Amino acid sequence: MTTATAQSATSGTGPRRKGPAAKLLRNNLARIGLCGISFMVLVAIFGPMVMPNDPFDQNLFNRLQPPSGEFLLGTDQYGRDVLSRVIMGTRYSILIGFTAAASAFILGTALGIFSGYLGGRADQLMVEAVNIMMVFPGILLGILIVAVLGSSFVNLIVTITFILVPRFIRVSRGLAISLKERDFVMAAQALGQNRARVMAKHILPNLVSEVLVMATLWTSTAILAEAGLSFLGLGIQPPLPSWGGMIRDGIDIIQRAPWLSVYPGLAILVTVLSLNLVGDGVRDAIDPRISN
Amino acid sequence: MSRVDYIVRRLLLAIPTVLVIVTLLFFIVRVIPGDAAVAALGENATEEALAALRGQYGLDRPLAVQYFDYMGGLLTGDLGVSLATRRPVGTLLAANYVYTLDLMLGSLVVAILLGVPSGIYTAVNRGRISDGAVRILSLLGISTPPFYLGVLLLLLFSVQLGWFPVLGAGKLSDPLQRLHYLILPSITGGIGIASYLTRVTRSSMLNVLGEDYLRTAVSKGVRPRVITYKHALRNALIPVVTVIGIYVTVLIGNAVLIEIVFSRPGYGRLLVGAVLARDYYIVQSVMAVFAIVVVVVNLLVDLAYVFIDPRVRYA
Repeated sequence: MTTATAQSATSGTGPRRKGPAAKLLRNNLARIGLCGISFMVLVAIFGPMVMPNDPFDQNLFNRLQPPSGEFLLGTDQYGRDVLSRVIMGTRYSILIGFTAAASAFILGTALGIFSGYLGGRADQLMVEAVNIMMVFPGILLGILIVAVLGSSFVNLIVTITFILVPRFIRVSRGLAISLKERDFVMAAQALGQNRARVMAKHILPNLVSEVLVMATLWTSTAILAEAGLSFLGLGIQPPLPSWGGMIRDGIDIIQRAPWLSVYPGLAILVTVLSLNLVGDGVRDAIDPRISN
Repeated sequence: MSRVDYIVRRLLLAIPTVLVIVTLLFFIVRVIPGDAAVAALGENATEEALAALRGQYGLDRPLAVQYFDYMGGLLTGDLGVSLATRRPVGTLLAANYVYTLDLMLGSLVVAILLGVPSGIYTAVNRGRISDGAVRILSLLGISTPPFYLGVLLLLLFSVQLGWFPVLGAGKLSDPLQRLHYLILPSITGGIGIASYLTRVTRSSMLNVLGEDYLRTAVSKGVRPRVITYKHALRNALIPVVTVIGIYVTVLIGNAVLIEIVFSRPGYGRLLVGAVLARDYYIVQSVMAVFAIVVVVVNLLVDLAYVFIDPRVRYA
C-alpha cells in the first residue's frame, strides 16, 4: 500500500487538495462528463416514472408524427411516442452496459491477477485464450455469442461481459507481473505470507486504480456493443425499446421520418461521450504521466 | 536470432493460431440452437424432406466426421454449401469480398488522411485553442457509434443535399460509380479510427519532439518544418503503424455495421443474414475470414517493425 501513503502524505502540503478525486473535479471536461452520466443514470432510474406516454402504446392515428408539442420527439410507425421509448431504452442500455462492464471488471481483474502472479502453464493458456478472443472484433464476438445463447436481457449482459473480459485480463495481468517484482511484494513473500494473501493485500490494491480507469472507458464500449447488437437485430428484442434497435427501425423510412433514428442515436452519443470524458479525466487524475 | 529466422518463426506461429480459430468456430457455430435443416426449409417441411437435406449435406453424420470433412475441404478450397441459398460458400464469399474490402480500405484511407495530419498539427500547436478544439472533435469521433454517424451523414449528404446515393454499392464494373457509393461509408468507418490516430500521432510526436537528436537538429539550425516533417514524423509513425494493426478489428466491426446502414452488399450483410437464418457454413466461414485477416495484418505489422525500426529486437 505504498501508493496510498504517498498520496496522503502530499495531500496536506498545499492549499489545494491534490487527491485524484479533487483533481478529477477540477477538470472541466470531466465535470461535463460527470453531469452527462449522472443525467443519464437519473433518466434510467426515474425517467420511466415521469415519461409523457406509454412507450408500448400503439395508436395508428398518430403514426409518424413529426416532433411537436404533443410528442416532443415525434412518433414511430406504430404511433408510439419516441421520447418515451428513448427514456425506456435508457434504462436497458445503462443497466446492461454498467452491469456488463462491472462483471467484466471483477472477473477480468481476478483472472488477470491469478494468471500474472501465479504464472506457469495456466498463465500461458490464459494468454493464448485472450489472444484468440482478441482476434475477433468485439461486435463479431457478440454476434457469435448471441447466436449461441439467444438474445435475452441476461444473455446480452453475459455476451458483453465476454467481449470485455479479455481486455481486463490483459491489462491486469501485465500490471500484476510488474508488481510481482517490486520490493514490497518480495518482502511480503519473504515474510511467509501465502500467495492468496499477497494477491489480495498487495497486488490487487496497487493495480485496481489503473484497471478502474480502463473500466470507465470500457463501460462506453459496453454501451456501444449493446447498441450495435440491438442495431443488428440481435440485442434487445421488440417491442422492448433499445436505442440501437430504434435507429435500425428508422433507417428504412429515414427520408420520411428522420427523427426515428436521430434522437435515439443522440442518447447513445451523449452517454458514450460523457463516459469517455470521465474516463479521460480519471486517467489524467490518476496517472499524470499520460496527460500531455 | 537473425532477421530471417524471426520472420520465419512468426509466419510458422500464425498457422496454429488460424487452425485453432477455424476449429473453435466450427464447434461454436454448431452449438447454435435450432435445426439448420428446419431453418433452411421452413417450419412446415416434411420429415422426409428434412432427412433428405441432412443426408445431402452430411448433417446427419457424427460431429467429428463433419469436422474432418470440413477441414479436408478447406485444404482443397471447398468451404461447404450455404443451406439457405444452396450455393457454395466459396462462391458467395468471392462475390462479396470486394465490397467489404473496398469499405475497409476506404475507411483506412480516410482515417490516415484525417488522423495523422491532425495529430501532427495538434502536437506542433500544443496548448493553443486549435489543439483543444481538435482534441474535443476527436473525442466526439471516438464516441459516435459508426451506425449513427452513418445515419447522420446519410441524412445530410444523401437525403438533404442529394450529393451521394442513399443505398447500395454501385456497379462493380464502373469504378467512378463505385467510388461515389463508397465515399460516405468510408467516412463513416474512418472517422472513429482517425480520432484514435490523432491522439496516438499527437502523443507520439510530442515524445519524439523532446528527444535529444531533435534538440541537436534544432541547435544545428535545421529549419523547423524539416524537423517536424522529416525527423520527427518518421519516428512518430512507428506507434501509428501499431495502431493500424490494433484497429483492424475496429475496421472490420465498423464495416459490418456500416453495410447494414447503407444497405451495401458484403460480408457484414452476409454474416448477419446467415446468423438469423442459422446458415452454419456462411457464419463460420465469414468469421474465419475476418479472424484470418486480423492475424495476417498483425503479422504484417510485426514484420513491418523489422524494417521501420532498427532498434527492434528479435525476441
